[in-house]
Amino acid sequence: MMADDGIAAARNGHSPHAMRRLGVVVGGSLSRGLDVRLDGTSHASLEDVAVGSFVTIQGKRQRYFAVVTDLELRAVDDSIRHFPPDGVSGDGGDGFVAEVMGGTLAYGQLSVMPSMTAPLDTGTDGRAAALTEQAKTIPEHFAPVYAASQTDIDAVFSARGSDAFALGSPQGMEGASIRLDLGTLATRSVGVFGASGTGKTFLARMLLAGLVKEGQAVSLVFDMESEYGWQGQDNDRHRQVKGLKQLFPSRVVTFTLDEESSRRRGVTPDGVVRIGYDEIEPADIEVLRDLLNLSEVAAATAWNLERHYGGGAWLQAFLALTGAEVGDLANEMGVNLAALQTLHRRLSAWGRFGFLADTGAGSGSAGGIIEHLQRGNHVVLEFGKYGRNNAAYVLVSNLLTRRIHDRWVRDKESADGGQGDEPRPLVIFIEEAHKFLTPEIASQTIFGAIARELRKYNVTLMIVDQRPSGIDSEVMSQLGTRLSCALNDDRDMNAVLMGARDAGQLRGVLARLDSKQQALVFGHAVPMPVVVRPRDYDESFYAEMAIQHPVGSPATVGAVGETDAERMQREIDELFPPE
Amino acid sequence: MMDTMAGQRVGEVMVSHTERIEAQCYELLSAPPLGSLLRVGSPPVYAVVREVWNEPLDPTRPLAPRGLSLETEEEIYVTNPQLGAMLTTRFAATIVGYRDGTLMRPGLPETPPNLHAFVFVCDGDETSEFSRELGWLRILLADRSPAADSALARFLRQSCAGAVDRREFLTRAGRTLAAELAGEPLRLQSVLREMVR
Repeated sequence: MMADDGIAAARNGHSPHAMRRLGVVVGGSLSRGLDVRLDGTSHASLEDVAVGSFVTIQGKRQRYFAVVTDLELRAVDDSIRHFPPDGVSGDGGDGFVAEVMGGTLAYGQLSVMPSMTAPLDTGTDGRAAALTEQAKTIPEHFAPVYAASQTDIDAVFSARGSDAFALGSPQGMEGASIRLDLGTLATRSVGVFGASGTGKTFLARMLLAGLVKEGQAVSLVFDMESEYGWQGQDNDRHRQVKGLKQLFPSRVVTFTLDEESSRRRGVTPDGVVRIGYDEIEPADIEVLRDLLNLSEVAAATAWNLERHYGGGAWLQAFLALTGAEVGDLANEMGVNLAALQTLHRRLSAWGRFGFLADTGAGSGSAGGIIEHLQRGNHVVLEFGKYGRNNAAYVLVSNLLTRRIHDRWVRDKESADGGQGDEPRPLVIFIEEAHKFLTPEIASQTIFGAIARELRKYNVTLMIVDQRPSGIDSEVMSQLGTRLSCALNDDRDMNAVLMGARDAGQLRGVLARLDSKQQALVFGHAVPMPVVVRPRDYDESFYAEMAIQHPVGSPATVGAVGETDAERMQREIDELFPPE
Repeated sequence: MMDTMAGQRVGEVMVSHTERIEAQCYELLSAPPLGSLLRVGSPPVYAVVREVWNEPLDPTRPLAPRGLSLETEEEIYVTNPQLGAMLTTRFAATIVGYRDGTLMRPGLPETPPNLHAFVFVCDGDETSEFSRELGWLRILLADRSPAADSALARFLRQSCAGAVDRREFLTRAGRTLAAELAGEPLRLQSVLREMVR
C-alpha cells in the first residue's frame, strides 16, 4: 500500500518522502465531511495535527484539499474507556501495552472538510492553480491523507502567482504563505471580526496597505481611534507601527476632524474636515436616534423642521433659536413641544463639534474628499477626540458616505449610459460597524444600502467589528469575505458564520482560534476556508509594501534595513531639503 | 530448558488432526516447554506447544500415592524403578505452518503429519525465520484457552529473542494481536503483558 502511494505521489510530481502521511479515509460524506483514521504505524500523532490545518487526500483521479475541522479519540471497543492499559495493575514493560494499543484499538480520527479538487496529473507549479475547483465529489474509502505541503498551499491560494498579497501563513506551516487576490476581495464587502485585542486592527491595516499597494481600488477609512493614518500602536510589543500615510506618502491623504489632537500627536494632516450644517439631513438624525436618545416623535420632528425652514437651512436656523422661540415654533408648526425641545437640547450639544461649519467647502469638505478619491488617492479620516463620541462618528461617516455613494451611483449610471468613465472601485472602511448596522437602523443608513446592493455601484464596505452579533443579519449575509480572529461570545461566532457554507464544521475551527494572531478566512476571496497566522506587521512588511519609484525620484518610502537614527535623518532631510 | 532441547528430537506423533497434534515424549518429564516451536515429520509441519501433561501409560491403571513413608519425591522413583516404564509425558501442539519447498508458510498443511512422525524442537534461527511473518497469530488465537494464550505469549517471546530489532518485532506483533483482539481488550492486555514479562 505504501508502495502504491509512492507511485501515485511520484506520478503527481511529489516526492513521496516530502509528503507526511497521516492516515486514510474511512467514512463520511460530502455534506458532513470525511473521517480520517490516523495511521497507527507511521507515528502520525493527533498532537501534530491542529484543527484548521490543511491536508490533501490522494483520490484515484483527483487530489482533494481539505481543512481539519475536528479531532477525536476513537476506540474499537468501548471497554477501553473502563480498562485503560495503565489503569490495570502491572503494565508489563515500560508502557509497551499502551504503545501497542495506541493506534490500533485506540486511535485518532480527524474530521476533514474537502473543499477543492485538482486533477491528479497536473504539475506542481502555478498551472495547477487554474485547475483547482470546488469539490463536488469525495474520495473513496482508504484514500491516503497527507499533511499539505507548501506546493499544495500555493496551488490553492496563489491563483495569481507569487506576486499576490501575502496575508500570512496557514496553521502549522510557518514557511508557507496564503495569498489573497485583493482585487477580488474588494469587489464584495469584507468583514474583519475579532474580540478586543485579537489582532483585527493589524489584520485590517494590512489589508488596507495591500489595497493601497495594489492600487485597483481606492479606500476611504473612517479612522475612529486614529490608528490607520499616520501610525498605530502595537500594545503587545509597546511600539509604534507605521500607518498608511507613512507607508504610502504619495497615495494616501489624511484628514482630521480634530486638528488639536493631530498636533499633539505630532502629525500634520493633509486637511481638516469641515462639514456644513447645511449638509445635515433629517435622515441623519433618524440614524442617530438611539445614540442621541431621542424618541421616535422627536426624531421625526426634524422632517417638519426641514419642511418649515427649507432643506439646507433648517438645522442652523433651528439651533439659533432660544428656548422661548422653540416653544413658539412648536405652536407654529403644530408639533409636540416636548419633542421639539428635546431635539433642540440634544442637537445644541453639536455646537461643540469643531468640524461643523456654516457650509462645507474647501479640500476638507465632502466634495474635496470625493475629489481625492476620484483621483485615486486613499483617504484616511482621523477622528481624534470625536472618535470617542459615537454620535459624531456616526454622523460624519454616514453623511460623507452618503454623499460619496450618491456621486458613485451617478457616475456609474453615467458610465453605463456611455457618458464618462466607470467610477473607481471604492472600499469604505468602518469600525464599530454594529453602531450603524444594527437591525433597527441598518435599513436607514447608507451602509446598509451599500452592503445590500453589493458591488452594483463599485462601492463596497470593509467593516471591522468586535460584536458581529449586533450587526443586521441581512448585512452579515451579504459580506463576501469574512476574516475572523478569536471571538468569545457564542452569538458572535454564529453571526460570523451566518450564511456560510459548512458553517457547522467551521464553528469548531472558529471556536479554537488562538486568542491572538490567528484568523479564520473564508468566503469570496479565498477558494476554501483557511486559518491564517497573519504575517508580522514589521520592517519586512513595510519593505514589501514599498512602491518602486523610478530612478531619480525622491525615495519617500522607508528604505529597508535603516536604523532609527538613519530614518530620522532621512525624514528630516525630506522635510527640510539641504541647500 | 529451551536451549538444551533446541534442535533435538523429543517424541513422536500419537494423534494427528489438521489443526493439532498430540505427541508422546521419549522420556518421562522431558516435554518441550509451553510455547516452543516444533518441526514435525517430513515435509515439515510446524506446531506450537500449547499443553503438556503427564499420565499413566495405561489409562485403565490409575496411579496411587506411594510416598507416605518417604522424605523426597525423588525417593519415590528410586524405590519404584518400574514407574519410568508405567508413566509417560504427552504434549499437544497447534499446527501453525508448514514448509512448501524452500518456503515456510503460515497456515494449515493439506494433510496432517503422519502418526509416529518425529517431533523436533526448532532452534533459535528456525524459530525466528518462521515467526517473521505473523500470519499464524490468528490460528493460535482461535484456540481460546488460558494455556493457548500463554503459549502464544511465550512463543512470541522466544521469537523476538532472535529478531534483529527486538522492540520493533514485539510492537509489530502486538499491533497485529491488537487488530485480532479488537473486541477483547482485556484478553489482549493479558497476552501483551505476558509477552514482555
